[in-house]
Amino acid sequence: MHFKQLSPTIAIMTKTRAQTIGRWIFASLVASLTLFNTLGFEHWSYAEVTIWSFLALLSWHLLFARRRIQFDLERQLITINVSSLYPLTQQVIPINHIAAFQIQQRLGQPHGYDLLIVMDTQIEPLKFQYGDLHQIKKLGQALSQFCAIPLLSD
Amino acid sequence: MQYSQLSKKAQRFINPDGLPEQLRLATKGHYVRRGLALLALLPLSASLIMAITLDGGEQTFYQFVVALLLPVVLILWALKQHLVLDNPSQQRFVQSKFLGYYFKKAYLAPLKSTELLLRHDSYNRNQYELKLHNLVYPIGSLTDTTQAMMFFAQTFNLPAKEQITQFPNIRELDLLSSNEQLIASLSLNFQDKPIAQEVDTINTVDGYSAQATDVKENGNPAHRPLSADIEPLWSPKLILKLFYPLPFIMVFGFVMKFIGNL
Repeated sequence: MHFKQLSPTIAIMTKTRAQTIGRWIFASLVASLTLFNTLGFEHWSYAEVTIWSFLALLSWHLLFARRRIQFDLERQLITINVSSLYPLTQQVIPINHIAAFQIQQRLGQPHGYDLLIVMDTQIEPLKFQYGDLHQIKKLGQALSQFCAIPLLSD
Repeated sequence: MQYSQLSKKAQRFINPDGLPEQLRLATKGHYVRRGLALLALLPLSASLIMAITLDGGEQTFYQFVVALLLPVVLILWALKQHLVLDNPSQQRFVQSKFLGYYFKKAYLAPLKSTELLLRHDSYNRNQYELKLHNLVYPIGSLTDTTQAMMFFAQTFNLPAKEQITQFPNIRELDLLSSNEQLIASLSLNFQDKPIAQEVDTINTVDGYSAQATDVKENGNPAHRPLSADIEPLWSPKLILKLFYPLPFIMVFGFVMKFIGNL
């Protein structure tokens, strides 16, 4: 996911075109295989159909699950939506209560870094994104510039 | 500030060998090697038992494994690496040590350039940690952490900084004042009052009403009550939500089977 500014006050996080197409091809391949299986159901037992439905659930989420992140300076909100055709979870972060963005190495992972959102109203920082140092640094700089909030890194 | 006055937890992090001239602090690599040695103890002890109890070809195999693992564990355990703060030469360097033999000094830098920073713990903002160059000591309470910082600052004459009173900004600390004054000034400005109280003051200042209803109900998320913590995005009960489409998929499967059987 990388940062993309749409207008002076609105920005979103998007995937690269290669990522989107790659995931779409892979997911639709899995989904069509799962659907193709249903043609042979007359020979399957009920137990097998039940097990199939769990695999079909997986391919459902592979096909539909997505995370949308919107930054809105006018309303001073960062909105994170996770959905899979139906809404799964939502997180609304008021920008004016963010004290800082922080880059931190994940414990026990020499190349894994977290981008944290440190709130001035709450004890535990919020996890925002995970990736390698180069990626996280680029994203953190873009975010801190857009929201005008300092970026901390060890 | 003397070493003996430090809290138990700070003393566990800081080894007093070589005081007052120098301080040898274990680096991250040191702890990683210790961890690997501990991990290697598991196969070592298992194959040691095998080497004793079995006989014939199997015994020879396990004796080989023990002979291979034992030196590895010993070397990992005996190889120590320290970040050394050295007062007589006014320098800071990293030095490895193996059974009393000292390796060459690496990453030499003037002692004065060592960063000493007092800040919030990165996982829990009610706790505090001390950052010394690239080592981080999560000591805990503000008093204990400030004492540890004063100990370093006074022993090696280092400039001390803090990142607590004006959070993301770093401020130089005045070390001439006494310990108690320093802790008082740090806690007066920001901390020791729980963060929940701060939320109250923010609420009144910004004019948020405590009765503001949920985001979805009044349609304006900016007026949500801030005293409610923002929950992490992924909570355990969310796993249940992932299974919502399952009944529909199952019914679809059974219908397909029924149609196939017609």
